[in-house]
Amino acid sequence: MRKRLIPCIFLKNGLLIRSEEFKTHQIIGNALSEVSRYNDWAVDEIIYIDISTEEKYDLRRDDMKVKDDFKTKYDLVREISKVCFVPLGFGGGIRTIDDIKNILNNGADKVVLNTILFLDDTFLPEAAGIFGNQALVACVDYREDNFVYHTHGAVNSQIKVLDWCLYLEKRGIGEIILNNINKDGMATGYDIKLIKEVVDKTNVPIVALSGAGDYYDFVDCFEEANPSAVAAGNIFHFKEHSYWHAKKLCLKENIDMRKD
Amino acid sequence: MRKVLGGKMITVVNLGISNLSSVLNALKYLGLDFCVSSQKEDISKSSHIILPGVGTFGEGMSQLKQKGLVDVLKDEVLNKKKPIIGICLGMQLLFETSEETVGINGLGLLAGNVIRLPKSDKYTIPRIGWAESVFTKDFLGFNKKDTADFYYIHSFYCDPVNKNITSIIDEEGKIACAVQENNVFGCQFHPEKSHKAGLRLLTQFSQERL
Repeated sequence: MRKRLIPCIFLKNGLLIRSEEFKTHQIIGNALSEVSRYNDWAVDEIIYIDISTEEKYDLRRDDMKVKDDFKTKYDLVREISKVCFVPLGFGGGIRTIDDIKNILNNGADKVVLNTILFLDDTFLPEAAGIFGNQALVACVDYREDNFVYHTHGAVNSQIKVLDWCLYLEKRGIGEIILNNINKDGMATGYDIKLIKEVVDKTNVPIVALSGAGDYYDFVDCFEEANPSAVAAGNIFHFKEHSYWHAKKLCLKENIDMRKD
Repeated sequence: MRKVLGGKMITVVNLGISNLSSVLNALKYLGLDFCVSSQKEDISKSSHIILPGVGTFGEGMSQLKQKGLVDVLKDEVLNKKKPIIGICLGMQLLFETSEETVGINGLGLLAGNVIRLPKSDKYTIPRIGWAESVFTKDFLGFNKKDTADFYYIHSFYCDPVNKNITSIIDEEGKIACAVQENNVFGCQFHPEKSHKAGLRLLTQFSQERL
């Protein structure tokens, strides 16, 4: 299978944001008006993470017709999937089996789980039995102390990253996103050492997130840690034709990727 | 749902077990006329049939039987020569049997069986992701020897009796990724999730003549 390069899009109350260490959240756009742009980029896959702490979706665009119908995250998924013809992942605030069902029925292919995995130990096997493990992705947020955090990075689970990943694998997760909170928005390169360790010791596809500052960070991460995919957020928002340039560089450096 | 009387109309067969929204979004985006149905009458009236599906072979067949669609599909496809395309599980249902659900017969529109994917260094099982795929024949607007990347999610694959019906094969030359025999088409990958190459196949399918 080809290696993947994935734009990871963070949303808060319906707006696109740029995040730094999970603290600073700078609004950079409107979720809906950006969607078709991502599709035009010919991305391999898109992941949306909704980090809203309340159920409120105000696009701050009263001129957009869809506003009135836009009340829940499911509406958001439905609108996104209308123009997204690559695999679509969606996460944030998922707490029930019905949440997963609604997100998948509105057009997503995968859901991204995090906090619920700490709150309810039976959730993952139950969900895997219903939806299959290919639909379930875990986002593992951790800090430099090597502990996994949940609830928007606020609660230390006291579980080490590798232990948690091995546990999730055993319980039926389909894919794991590794996200170093201290590298979020810092553009200092991926956390290669830990990504490599998890890639080497697990058998599920690993997606590296957080830290991309320039396109060579993608190449370095693939070459040194060999994850199934690398994902990034900010870098794709602030540079012109960034996805295209990033892909071009990876291909030039012989990373086995979809050319399109 | 738009309907065009007297014109071309695609029926997307609704097995009721899987999520159709991606396929429907693609057809809407392409501006094609379609209806979603599990009624015999709609299948008879339509010009083209899409059989999508995610789930097990046994579940898929049991839904087709419960809805009374097995005979109408055979008649429309074999006698009236309507173009049909099976996607993912839908492709597998076109064949005779599957190792996934032993003892259940498929539609049998194509001769061959569905078998478990062999282990390989190239993928894990389920085989998920983008894979380079090689056209071994002209197929829905693509030419022999073309290559394209398509998006796959599967644990079983089709093994046609007549190897000449294989139109797209994986990079190792083992897995039949798409087949065509006359008006019967199947693709193991998801064209609706395979970006431009996939949408191009769907467009071309809609233009296949009776």
